[in-house]
Amino acid sequence: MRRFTLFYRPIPGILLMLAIAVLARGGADLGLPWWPGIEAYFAASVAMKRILIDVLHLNYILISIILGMLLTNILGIPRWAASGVATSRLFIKVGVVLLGSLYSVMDLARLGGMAVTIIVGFIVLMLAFTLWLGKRVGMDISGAATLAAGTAICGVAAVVAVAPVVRAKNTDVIYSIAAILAFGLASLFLFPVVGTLAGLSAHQFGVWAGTGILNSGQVLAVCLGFDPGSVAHASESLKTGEIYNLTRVIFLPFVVLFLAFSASRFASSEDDININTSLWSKFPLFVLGFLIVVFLTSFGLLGATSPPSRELTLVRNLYSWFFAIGLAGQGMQISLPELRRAGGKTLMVGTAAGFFKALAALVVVLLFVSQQP
Amino acid sequence: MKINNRCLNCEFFNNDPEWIEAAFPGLNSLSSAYGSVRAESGTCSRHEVFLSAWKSCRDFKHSERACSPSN
Repeated sequence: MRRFTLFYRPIPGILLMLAIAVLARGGADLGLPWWPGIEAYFAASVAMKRILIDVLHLNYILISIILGMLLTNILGIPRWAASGVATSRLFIKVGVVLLGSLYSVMDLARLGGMAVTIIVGFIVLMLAFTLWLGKRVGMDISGAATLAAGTAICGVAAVVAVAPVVRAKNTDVIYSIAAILAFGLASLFLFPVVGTLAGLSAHQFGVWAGTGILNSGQVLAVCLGFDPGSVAHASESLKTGEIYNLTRVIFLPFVVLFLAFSASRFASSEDDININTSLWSKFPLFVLGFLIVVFLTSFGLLGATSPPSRELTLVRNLYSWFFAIGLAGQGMQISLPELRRAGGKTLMVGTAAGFFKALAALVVVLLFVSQQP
Repeated sequence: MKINNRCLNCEFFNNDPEWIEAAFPGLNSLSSAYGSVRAESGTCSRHEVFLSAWKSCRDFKHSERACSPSN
């Protein structure tokens, strides 16, 4: 009986996220052709299209997030939906695994070489910058290290991974998460606008977003916002941005170890650092799922890639819906009062580091990254 | 230090996922979509820190729940 309850309890919340995604995206794929989606209404007028879609990139992804945020911050998440909304991460993870259908092994080799160079450079730069700035303004080592992980790698996930090994105070964790989310929320709307004004191509934008944005979920949303793509022509910015994002995620366990050893002289003698446990328990396993789908695609097990086979078309349509549903749910979990908890030195250092990283990444893209991959 | 004196078996330690998400607001929003990185870490109510389940300290207090069959 308990298993049955666990199974059906999330369903109302999942349906609510789906309803928001349909509201934003339209219902044609789900047999509701009479509802074209809010994005289609924005596109109907030339003036509105120019401002809302071409410049602000308010497509179905950002509209889903905004609708989710409005619902949460005006009405709150209904109790009956809370359990389902919490599954939004699962939708995004499965979506990322399916995203592997966009790549071949050759694509990974071509995009991955430059991605590793740029990402490693930025991880080192941001660790050094945030630790230095944190020390200058008087943050303690565990607080600065926790925030440094968030700014150098993949935002909140990195904060949660690093905080235990540097024995961070609960308040350090809360402030770091809030600072990163506050900056990330601004990135969500600023990156597409700045990218358009700077004349970035979809590939260049992917490199910029995958390097400069702090949080994984926001990279996904912003890349799809800039270039939503279609089933026939997948989003180029997403294809590039995700490789950069996954590259830095893979480095997470190593940064955890580095920060653990750096902070270990401040830890008590009773503590120990287990390299094997740290590496494996901090490794994001869904990346392996992504790689398996890349291999399946590369070896033709999902059919022809150009033009995409029926199986590939189905997988690509599926992941775009998974992202729309997952991001609607993620929008529903952005609580503005919670973001206001960020404050003091952590907010100042986090914001400075976020802007520095975004600006430095933009300069690198403009100087060294070509328009096409 | 004996292995069962780790935080995992301490009364002050809590690593229940729902508890952690409540303790750290915002953990869910556009963030740890790629997580799976918390492992068994949790909060210590004695020292107000977020730490690994495999740490230990002199304030260790054995938890009754650590003796239950499910643990």
